Amino acid sequence: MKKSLLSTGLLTAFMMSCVFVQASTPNQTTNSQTATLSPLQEKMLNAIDNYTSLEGTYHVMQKPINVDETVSFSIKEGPSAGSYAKHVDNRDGSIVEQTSDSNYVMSNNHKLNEFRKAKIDKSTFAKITTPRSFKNNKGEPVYVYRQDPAWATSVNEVAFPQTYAFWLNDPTTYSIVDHEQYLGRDATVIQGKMDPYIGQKHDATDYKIWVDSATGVLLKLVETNASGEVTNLIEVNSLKVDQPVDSSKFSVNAPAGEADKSMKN
Amino acid sequence: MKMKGISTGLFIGLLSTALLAQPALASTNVFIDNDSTTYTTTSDMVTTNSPAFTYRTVSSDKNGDSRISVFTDDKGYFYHWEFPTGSSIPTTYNLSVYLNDTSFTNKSAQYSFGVSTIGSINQYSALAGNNWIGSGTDWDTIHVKVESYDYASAHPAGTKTGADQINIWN
Repeated sequence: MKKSLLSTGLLTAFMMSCVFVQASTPNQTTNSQTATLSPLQEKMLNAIDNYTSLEGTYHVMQKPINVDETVSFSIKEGPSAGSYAKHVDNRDGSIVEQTSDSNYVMSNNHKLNEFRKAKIDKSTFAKITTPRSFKNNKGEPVYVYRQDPAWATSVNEVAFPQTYAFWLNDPTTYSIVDHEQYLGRDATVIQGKMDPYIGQKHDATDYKIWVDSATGVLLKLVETNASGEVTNLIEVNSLKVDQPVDSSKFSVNAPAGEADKSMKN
Repeated sequence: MKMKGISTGLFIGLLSTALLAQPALASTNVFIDNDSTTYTTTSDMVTTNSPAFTYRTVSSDKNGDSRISVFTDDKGYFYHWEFPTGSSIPTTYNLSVYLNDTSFTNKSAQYSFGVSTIGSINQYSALAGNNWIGSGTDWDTIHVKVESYDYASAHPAGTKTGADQINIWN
């Protein structure tokens, strides 16, 4: 009897604690309108957990913002995380490189002959355990992004495609049409209708996306407008997963002879 | 005996509750907000006191947006806002940006507290709404900075950045 009364009290107190520990700040969170994410979305939203290293090259063309680049990258997750990315503009050959050793991130713009280096605040690395997508108490959508310790931010569109994962929030707008072999890997192929806000920005009405089924990495994205013209394209041309990488590429030593345009206090 | 048993249970339970990780304080959000993309001057900024923070927003009869840099000492490379917190204790703050305009196209908008970067977001492909970017530590004054152009691209100049609204809370 005594034991059961104790248990009742503990249960009551536990239920009360559930009310108090719900994360809630004004206008920011609600527990009533959380988006249900598909397994593929979960994989894309946490892609950095699904590989220890990633190396590859891809072509990105985005007509509305005049981007046409060939990108090569190298990423290492886990202990001693770091990254390197090289963006070559296909129109004039100009080069921007971004490197990170997980403590600092440095961008070198060789065309402007300048660099910027910033310290990374590591309090932002924690894995997110709360809902990744929901509506706040104003009814506004909220998308929760996770930051990568390797800080490969300039190649997140391929290596950590959270943005595109959120495109899949509304299952009525897309369908999984196939599984294909892409660069020797199984790819989940999705076709969908563009979100109106993104569609206006991207000059596109439809998209087709290939996602690496094992890691959630983006392999290919083709966006077309109402005329069937390709307006945006991301196409991975080579990919190595979980192979040894050269960590010396992740150096954030300031380059000689380039102007320092880093933020100052 | 019965009451004592329940009371003991409640006491243990409540004590456990107190020891659990506490939720983020429901502090007032600090934000810059307006609904127009027309650029304006810093003289249009007003300061409004809220219980925890002072925040800045553009006055109601002016058009403007959060791409206004309050300070001019960043050589045009960064948009920079400052929010006095009234606290000298280092505190972790969260940051989200509200995107609702198709002119926000920075593929690698990097946000910082002071000189420490806390997160990056692809504003060209991010959906409209509140985008939680990350968290960082600051104290007396939160210095929020965002690079004024997409430095990760080989063509950095002229790419729109910033956001319609910036939220900071702890």
